[in-house]
Amino acid sequence: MDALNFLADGFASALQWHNLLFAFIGVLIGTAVGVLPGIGPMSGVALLIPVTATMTGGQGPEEAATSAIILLAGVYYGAMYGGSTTSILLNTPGESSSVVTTLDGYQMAKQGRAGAALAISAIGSFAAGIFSLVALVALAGPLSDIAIRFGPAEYFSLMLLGLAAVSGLAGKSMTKALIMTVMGLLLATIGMDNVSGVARFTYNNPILYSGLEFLTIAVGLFALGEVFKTIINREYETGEKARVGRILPTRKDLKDSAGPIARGSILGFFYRRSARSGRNAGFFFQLHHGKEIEQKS
Amino acid sequence: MNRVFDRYASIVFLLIGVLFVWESRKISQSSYGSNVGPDIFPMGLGIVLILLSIRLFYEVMKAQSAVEGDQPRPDYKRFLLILGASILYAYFLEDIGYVIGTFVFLLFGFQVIKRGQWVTSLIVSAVFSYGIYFLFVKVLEGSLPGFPSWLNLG
Repeated sequence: MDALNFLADGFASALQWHNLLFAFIGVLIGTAVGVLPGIGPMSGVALLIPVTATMTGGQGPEEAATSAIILLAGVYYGAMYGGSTTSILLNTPGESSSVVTTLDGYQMAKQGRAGAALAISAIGSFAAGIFSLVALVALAGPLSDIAIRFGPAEYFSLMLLGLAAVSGLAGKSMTKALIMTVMGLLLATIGMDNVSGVARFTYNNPILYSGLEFLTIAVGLFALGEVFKTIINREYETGEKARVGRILPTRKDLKDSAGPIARGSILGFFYRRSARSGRNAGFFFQLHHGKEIEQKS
Repeated sequence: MNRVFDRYASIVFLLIGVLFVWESRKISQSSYGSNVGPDIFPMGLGIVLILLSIRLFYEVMKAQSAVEGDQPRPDYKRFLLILGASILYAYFLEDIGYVIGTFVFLLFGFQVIKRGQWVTSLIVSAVFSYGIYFLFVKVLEGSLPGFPSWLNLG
C-alpha cells in the first residue's frame, strides 16, 4: 500500500489553495499557447519555464519546485487541449496529436456546431486524462513488464495496423489513399537512415539530415491546403461566417460521443503505455475504430 | 475532384515514383554486409507508388466522364499570386526579418483578396505582425528573426 500513501501525500500538497491556483493559471496559459499553431505541449512547456520561475519565486525552494511542476503540468494539459481549438475552427492542427481532431471537428464547425465540438473535445480529453491517471496508478507495475517485452516485431505489426487503418479512412478512392500513404512513407525516408546511418535524399544539405518534421508537413498540408482551396473556389465571397454557437453540447451529442470517448480513453491508454513511437498511428487507428462503429449503429 | 485533375495527378505521382527509384539507386546498397541496405525501402516504395499511379490513371480512364456541374471557374490568378507570395515570404524570412516580412505578406494577401480599404489592411497587418512578435519574443522569450540585422533594432 505504499503507492496509496504516496498518492495521499501528493493529493495533500496538490490540493493546497495556492497550488490549485497555479494549476489553473498553468492550464490558462497553456491553452492560450497551445492555440498558436506549431507550439505543442513540449515546446509550450519549454517556452514557459522562465515564466514559472518568476511566478513561484516568492516561496521557499522546496515549495517553489512543487508549485512550478504543478504549473508546468497545467501548461502541458492546457496546450494539449488548446491544439484542438485551431483544428476544429480553422482546420489547422496545433500539434501532431490533434491532426485527427481536424478530420471530424472541422466538419462539425462547418455545420455550425463548433461550440459542441470544442466542448466534446474538452470533455473527451478530461475523461481520458483522468482515466489514464487512475489506470496508471493501478497498473503501472504489470504494464511496464509488458512494455519491456514490446520488441521490434510488435512495433512493426502496430505500424502496419496503423497504416492499414489510414487507408480505411479513405473517402471515395482507395487508390488515392494508398498513393498518399506511400507518398508519406517516401517523404519519411528523407534524412538519416535509422538503421545504417546513411544519408538518404539529402543532397549534402545539412538541414535535411534530420528529416522532415511531421508537424511542418501536417500544418502545411492542412492550413495551406485550406487557404488555397478557399481562394481557388472563391469560397470567401459566398461563405457564411461560422458561429461558435451554443457551447454546451446537446444531450444527444453527449450520448453519441460517450462511447467513442470511453473507447478512446482505454485504447489511448494502452497505446501510450506500449508504443510511444506509434503515437500517431494509434490516433488514426482509434478514429478508424470509431468510424466503423458509427457506421454500424 | 475532376477527371482532368486526377489524370495529371497520376502522371505527377508516376514521375515522383520514378524519381525516387532512380535516386535510391545512388544510395549505397549495403553498409554492413546485409542484403537489406538503406536503399531497399525507398526503392520498394517508389515501385509501389509507380504501380498505384498507373492504377489511378487506369481507373480515371475507365470511369464515366462525370458531368461537370455549374462550379464556378477556379480562381487560378489569385491562387498563383498568393502561392508566389508565400514562397517569397518563406525565402526572404531570414533576410528581412519576421515583422517586416509578415507585414508585407499580409498587406499583399489582403489586397489580392479584396482591393481597397487600405487603412484597415495597414492597421490589421501592422498590429498582427508586431503583436505576434511581441508575444513570442518579449513575453514568452522565444527566438525569432524579428528585424533584419542591418537595421540594428534587436
